[in-house]
Amino acid sequence: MKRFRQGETVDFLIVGSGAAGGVMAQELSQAGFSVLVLEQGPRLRADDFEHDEYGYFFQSALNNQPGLQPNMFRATPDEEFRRQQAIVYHRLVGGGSVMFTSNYWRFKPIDFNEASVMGSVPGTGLVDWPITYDELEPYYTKAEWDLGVSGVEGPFDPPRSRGYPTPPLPVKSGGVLFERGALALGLTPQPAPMCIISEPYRGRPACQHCGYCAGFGCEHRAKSSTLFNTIPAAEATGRCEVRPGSYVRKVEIDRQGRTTGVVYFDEDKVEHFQPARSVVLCANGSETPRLLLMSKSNQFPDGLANSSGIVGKYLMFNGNASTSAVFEGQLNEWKSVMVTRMIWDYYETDPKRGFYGGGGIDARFWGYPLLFAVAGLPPDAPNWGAEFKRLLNHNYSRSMNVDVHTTSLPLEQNRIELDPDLKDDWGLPAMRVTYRDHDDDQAIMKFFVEKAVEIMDAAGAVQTWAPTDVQQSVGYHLLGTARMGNDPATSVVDKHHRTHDVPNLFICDGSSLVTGGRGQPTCTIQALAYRASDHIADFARNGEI
Amino acid sequence: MTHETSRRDFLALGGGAAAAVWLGDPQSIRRALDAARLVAQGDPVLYEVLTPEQAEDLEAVSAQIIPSDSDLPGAREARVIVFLDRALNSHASGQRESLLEGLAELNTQVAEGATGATRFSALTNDQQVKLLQEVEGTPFFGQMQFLTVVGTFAHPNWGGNFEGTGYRILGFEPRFLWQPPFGDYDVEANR
Repeated sequence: MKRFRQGETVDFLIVGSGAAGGVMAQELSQAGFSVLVLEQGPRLRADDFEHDEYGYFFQSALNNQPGLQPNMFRATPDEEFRRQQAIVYHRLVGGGSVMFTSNYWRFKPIDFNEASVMGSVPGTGLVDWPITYDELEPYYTKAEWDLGVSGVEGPFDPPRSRGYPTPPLPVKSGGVLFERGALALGLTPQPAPMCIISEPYRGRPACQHCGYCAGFGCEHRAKSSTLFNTIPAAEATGRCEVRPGSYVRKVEIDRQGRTTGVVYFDEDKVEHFQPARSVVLCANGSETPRLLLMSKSNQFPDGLANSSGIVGKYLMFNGNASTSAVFEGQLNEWKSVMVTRMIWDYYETDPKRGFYGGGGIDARFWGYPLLFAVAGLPPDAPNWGAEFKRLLNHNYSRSMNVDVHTTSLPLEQNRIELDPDLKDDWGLPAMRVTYRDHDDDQAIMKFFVEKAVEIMDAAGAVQTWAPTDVQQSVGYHLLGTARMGNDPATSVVDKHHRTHDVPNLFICDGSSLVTGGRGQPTCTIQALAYRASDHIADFARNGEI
Repeated sequence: MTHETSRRDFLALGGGAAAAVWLGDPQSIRRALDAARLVAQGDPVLYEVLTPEQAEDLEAVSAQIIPSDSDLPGAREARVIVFLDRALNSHASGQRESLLEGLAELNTQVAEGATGATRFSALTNDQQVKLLQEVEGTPFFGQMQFLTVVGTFAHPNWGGNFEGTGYRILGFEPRFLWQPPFGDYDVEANR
């Protein structure tokens, strides 16, 4: 396996090894370039993953730890910042692609030109993308077939040039009930596209239905993460090294305004300079803008690649709310993957609703044993004593959730900045986050929550309940903070993911998204990474970097 | 506490508010896991933090939060007290002082009552339930509720959930390998 000497110049230095970085590493190394990937987290093998909710969810074993990498948060600019974790991302080789639920929705054509089609929403940054769905479609297909996805074309699917590489995963009881309720309401349920293979595919086994997907790594390697897929393929070229435990603090620039490499801490917190001919940031939609803002210099006093002043702004989390139901029979939703059925009937904005927004609804279950015992019972249930225990016993295998996934309007005030006082454990400025949903985001979530409850009632639930507060204050989908566009005054990267300001600095991750889609961004982030790497490799071959 | 929590809010508890309280460095987490594994291997349990009296009282509180009955075990059989003792000596050491102060206050209430008992564990079952109903809103009770639930349902590596007690309460089978049908409603679809 390739090991670069300390200080050896590489063609491409990629910061972050997750959904985008893992793809970029494969594509650029297979194109013949030397590639070094710096990943702040550890590298785990398949048998290192445990079904340890307490460690993973409560102790932040594999995500940014609040004690080491704290955040400040406020909802609106007129509030004081307070110490509160607002950003959650996974911190290991493969990143979020290892730990995500594995919903793998393409965006649809409307997601790329909604501002033109529907009209702008005053006071927001809703604009068209500089690329169309048709331009990205071949790369959606490439992502699905290269990584391994399960599904089947449904009535609301966007146009696709090829079907799915593996058939849908077997439906669960929650999926059957969801389908029953949706059909009774005249809706059109369909199998959910998942980044989990239902049949053996390219040397990896099919899903074994262990039940531990969201928030866990897949010990069977059936979840098609970059850790077990593109990263080994990149390393197999002999031109790529993935260096875990490497926390980048600055992108360096020379007098000509070109990047020369990065400064990073190794796992012993020893600082190194790593030279590179080009740098590609795939550090996620929070760490990428933070790194740009930390990389300010005399030439870039407001942060690197920030001549527009919008680095960190237009942060989008996507809307999410979870409703719950209990049924008479046993569902045993704790088995198998999280999601098997969904609807896209309300995907697009409907002017008759009176507000912007759309999304999807899916049947799922987030009730791992500990999570369920803490938060899985109805709001009026006791939380101790004999009745608490009886309800846990009765409800656990009879419960399911229906989640709604909706639009987030890009707002300039929703942003990531550097905190002037609070530092992380490496002495670097902590993120401070301002985030409040637009009123239309709230309205569409409430509309969807009502629909979700209707579906479960129509399916025959004996009890349903829903959250009353759907305001987002924690981001897992970190989108829009270095948005793509043609105009350097209003965007950070061009449509090929090259920063407008620094010719050999590229960015491709959730930060590149202009709009947030309908709640499941990973498929689009990975399609963008396949597309960007094609262009970047061409630029490099043609001496255009 | 309320159960009216969205999935994201709940996960944020892990990443945020709860973690701020339950902050642990990887080394202390590892120590806790090592200690728990010793227990699982059958070595004698020696409390690291708690006195035997404190352990009895706290175990009695946890046994009211998730009681044992003739059908199913509870917090006592899950060995929540072992989890709790190890947690207070590792990743939850920051909670030790407040928890033990809370216990001392609870026992003061016991001693000031008319039962004649001086410790919570010496009360009758009905007396214990009545007193816990009175202190349900206190930080001490909140801590104990959370610790008891974690000790009962968290992965056995953490020292509780002994022999899958929590899994039995839920009806969860930790096989991690399944084939359809999964439940009553998908039999036909997966035939």
